[in-house]
Amino acid sequence: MHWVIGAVAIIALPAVSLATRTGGVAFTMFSGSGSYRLRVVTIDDAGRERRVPPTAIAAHVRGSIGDVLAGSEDWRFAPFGSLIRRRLDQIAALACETIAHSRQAQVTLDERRTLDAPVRTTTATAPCR
Amino acid sequence: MQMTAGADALGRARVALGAVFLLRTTPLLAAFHIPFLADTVPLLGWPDGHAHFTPFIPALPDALLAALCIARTLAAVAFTIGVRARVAGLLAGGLGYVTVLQDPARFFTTHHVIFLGTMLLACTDAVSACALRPGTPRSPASSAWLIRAWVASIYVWAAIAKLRPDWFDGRTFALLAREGQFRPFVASTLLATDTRRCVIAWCVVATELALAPLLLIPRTRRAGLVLAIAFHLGLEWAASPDLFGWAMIALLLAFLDLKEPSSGHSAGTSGRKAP
Repeated sequence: MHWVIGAVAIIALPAVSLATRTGGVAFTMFSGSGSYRLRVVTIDDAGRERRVPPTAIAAHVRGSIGDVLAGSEDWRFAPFGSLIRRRLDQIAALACETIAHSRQAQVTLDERRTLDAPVRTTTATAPCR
Repeated sequence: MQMTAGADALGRARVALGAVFLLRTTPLLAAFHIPFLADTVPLLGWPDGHAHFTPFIPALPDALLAALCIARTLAAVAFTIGVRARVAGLLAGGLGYVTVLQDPARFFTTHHVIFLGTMLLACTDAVSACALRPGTPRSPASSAWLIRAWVASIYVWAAIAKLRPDWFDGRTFALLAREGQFRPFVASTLLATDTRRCVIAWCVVATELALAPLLLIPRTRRAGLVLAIAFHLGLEWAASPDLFGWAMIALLLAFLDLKEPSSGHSAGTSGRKAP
């Protein structure tokens, strides 16, 4: 039994975490140099685009999401790129809440895994109720 | 007997990691106003009513989450003092993941090391020593092997994660220093130049790669222990990275077998050697 547990804890978990680039359960021991930047645009009923600073959304929602979004209109060095990418729809919905009378919100994430990695761009669009 | 000595070492590691678990998840250190422990009041993971990212596991209602935080703490206490420590450790570690992962932005490596370490120790004969109600030993040799190999693997994975140009040329250190991750003295002296950052970056990877064999080979184990503890104390002094260093030092107690000779004849009467 210990062999099976060991194989999972020692090899499988960290290897999968590194391979999938989520890093959540890999033992990277504070070596990360990843960074991210967010661009948020809302469109109102008249079709006008409005650029929304992520810091404005952070001030609106507060909590841990606010901690992650604050200051991300510029490149921010923190290990949250992967988490944000998987939750872009939620950020778009929060942009709708932040800017009244929005019809649609579009969130674009630029992220780099390391200082030398290419920029990976992901975009999500959400209709506002 | 070698086997009993190994269980004692694991038992001490269990008590120490249980203590770190409680320090990291409860407000025991609140009086010291340590920034990274601000989220432990009233308990780590307690619902605060603020927005958080949707978890990657099923979301729990606030009342249930609060109840699970309390259950996690009681289980951690039982694990630490050694009362039904096997079940308590599995429960404490499992509930640690369930409660903290409700807010994925607040799940850190330190949590993972503490929770997984607790669950792994609960699966071993660590529950049969240094306990108010010792559990029955089941497999002393593989218990020691499991914990020691896992701890050693953490250093290997940490080194692997650093095998990249922006670590070796010191730019990551420059970035971390600019972000205020090190105490000012360290940033302004030890990490002040490209050359120093580069040298220290190589030294960190070399140390991590060396620690795994040093800790696993009986003949070099004590030297490995001294190096590992010095490494973590140095990191604590330079950067105070959460309670990570203290969790690792707690786990390193699993290698500190007081009855084990450092000459390499470590298998005692059983003839079996832990890795």
